[in-house]
Amino acid sequence: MDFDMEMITSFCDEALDSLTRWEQVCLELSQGENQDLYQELFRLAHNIKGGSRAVGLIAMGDYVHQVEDGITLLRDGQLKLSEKIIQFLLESHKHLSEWIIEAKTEPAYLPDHQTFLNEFKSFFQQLNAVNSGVSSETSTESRTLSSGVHPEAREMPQPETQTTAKTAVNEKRKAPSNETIRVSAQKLDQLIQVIGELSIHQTIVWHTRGGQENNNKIFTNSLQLSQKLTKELYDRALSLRMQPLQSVFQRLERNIMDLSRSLEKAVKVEISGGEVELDKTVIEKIVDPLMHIVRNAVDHGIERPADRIMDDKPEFGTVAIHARQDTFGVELTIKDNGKGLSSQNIRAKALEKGLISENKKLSEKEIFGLILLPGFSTAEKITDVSGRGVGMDVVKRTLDDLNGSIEIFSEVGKGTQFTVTLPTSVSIIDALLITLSGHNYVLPVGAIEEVINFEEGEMDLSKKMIVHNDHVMPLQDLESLLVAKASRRPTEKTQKKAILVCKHESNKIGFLIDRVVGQQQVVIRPLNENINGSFGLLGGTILGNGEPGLIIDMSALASHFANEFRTKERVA
Amino acid sequence: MSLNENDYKYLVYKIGNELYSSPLLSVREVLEYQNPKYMPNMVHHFSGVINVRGAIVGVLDLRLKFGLPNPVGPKTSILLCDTGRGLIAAVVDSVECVQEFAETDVDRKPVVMSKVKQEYLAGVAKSKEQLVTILDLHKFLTEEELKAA
Repeated sequence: MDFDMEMITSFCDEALDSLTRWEQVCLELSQGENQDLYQELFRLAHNIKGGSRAVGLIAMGDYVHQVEDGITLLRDGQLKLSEKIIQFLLESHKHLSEWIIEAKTEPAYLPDHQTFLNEFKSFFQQLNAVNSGVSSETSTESRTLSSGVHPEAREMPQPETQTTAKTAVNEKRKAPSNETIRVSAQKLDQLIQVIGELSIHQTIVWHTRGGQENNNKIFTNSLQLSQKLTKELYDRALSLRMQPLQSVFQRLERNIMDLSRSLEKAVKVEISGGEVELDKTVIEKIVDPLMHIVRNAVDHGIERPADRIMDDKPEFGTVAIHARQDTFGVELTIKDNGKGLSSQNIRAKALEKGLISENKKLSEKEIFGLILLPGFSTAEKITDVSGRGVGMDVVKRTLDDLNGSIEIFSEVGKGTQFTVTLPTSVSIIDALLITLSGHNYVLPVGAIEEVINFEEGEMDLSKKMIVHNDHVMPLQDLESLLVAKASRRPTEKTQKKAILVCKHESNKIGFLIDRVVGQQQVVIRPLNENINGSFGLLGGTILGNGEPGLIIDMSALASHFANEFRTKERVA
Repeated sequence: MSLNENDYKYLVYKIGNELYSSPLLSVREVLEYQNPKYMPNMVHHFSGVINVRGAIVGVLDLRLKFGLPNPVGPKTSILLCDTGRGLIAAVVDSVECVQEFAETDVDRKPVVMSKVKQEYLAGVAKSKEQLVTILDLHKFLTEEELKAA
């Protein structure tokens, strides 16, 4: 059979959309029955069936057809909704999703779902035998696939089904189709890149406009306006990449439900803030860490129902997932009301693993932070669910890569809360422009607590410490930390006239620099493979004057400094 | 196998007083010299980074690599290469011409004393009584460690 790949791709994309909705409907159904939901589920199945047959994926069409029959029974009230049915529907959602993803590249792919289908059918028929009402369409077409169909049921005509199906299709046709357009992410990225370049050159033109403005007002006005328009164009292009978190939350919810079922725990999921938007790249990268956190919550956090009742807690455990947008980015909280983390246990464990020293004083927050360190895992035994070698340290690293952060708060017996903060966009940051020995560098404003400017002779720089706000703070020359000894070093000698105060864990560190030049928004560009991976650099950018600028990774430098400092302390 | 006419074409450039060349198609562009911006923690012959229409590109100074002085004059040029690892650029003293070398004029396995490691040497071409070293620029620019230890 020949396949029209273009048709198949567009069908697959649409079907995947339908399936996302399918999953959502199933999850909503588990909250309670609702005729509208059945109607919608039926419509989704019907569309996938029609679509798959139209592009030649006959086997898929047949599969969906059988599921659709089950849905018909539900919708017509011949079948009572049960946990088992929802599970079946979710299972078939999984099958179809995998199938469609395969079919996108290999249309001839045929999965073996026969066992499932048989189980599915016999289940429905068993239930249905009591009511003895299967639509005529069902029985005739599915005869080839199933052997155990109730003989009476086959003869039972039910024209009603047909008409509802038609109305459903008509309804779909009437739906407005011009609200969204499917565009490949690559095209979007190209567009954003071109606009990014445009805005860079716009800035260059602005900076080099020279004395033109004195004698030509029209020129200046028009330049100003185009500057503004470019900025708007850029913002809008970037917003095209933003996606609501809803789909991620849905996956999390699904995962929690599946997991709690297999662990025989009773869990309720509360979700809010699904409409909050994040950059597509961030969303893609954040799924696995979030998944890890919720799985941990269900596996280790929420107790078994019997234990919960014994502890005087409601039988159902709750996992609440919440998103909130603020000025700095998006804050996600994942909170469970399970057994919580014991800070004493964590401390003891960290000591045992040699992650902290005996007499180290740590705040509650810092102790919880220890579970984010590599080599730390509180689970007593490795279970199938969590503890497969991917630990919280991976979660932490992913968040670091995204310029985000994570905080943990927990109370024994009450539950645990993870707070994840993420920047809205990965590519634009507010940056501070500084100079070191005559070279300009860029660093994220977020990493800096404070800037102390001083004049020559005002500060005693001979000691490696200063007193700042009544606290002693170590002082470090930023350049000598950044630039390795073996490499080419700048020769220019300059006066140090500013200190950047950075926070590392609970300590403050002062970094000596020449001076702060200014502040601007910059677009982070990853350094290509030939030059990336250099210590202490986060990426590059093009500055307003057209020069390339390197972005310093302050948090990496601060933690490097802190480690060196500790080693020295120990030696001393 | 049919060869494209471009396969015989080479870009000839000068490093110090010697002529070098690379297959024409291995060089994406020849750029006017611009002052690279210092980047920390790189090897001595890594001059820094430049902005090529919005892309940040690392620049190696082949003159420094060969232990030669690296003056900047009106003929100083930057060769931009699009390698499998992304863009990278090399500074040379001047770009001379584009020239065709017949395969018969090229000694693919020369035994020569050269500043260049044997593995980056793609051959030596004879051209008007002059010998032109053929450099595998992509290999040369990407395989060397650029980060200073």
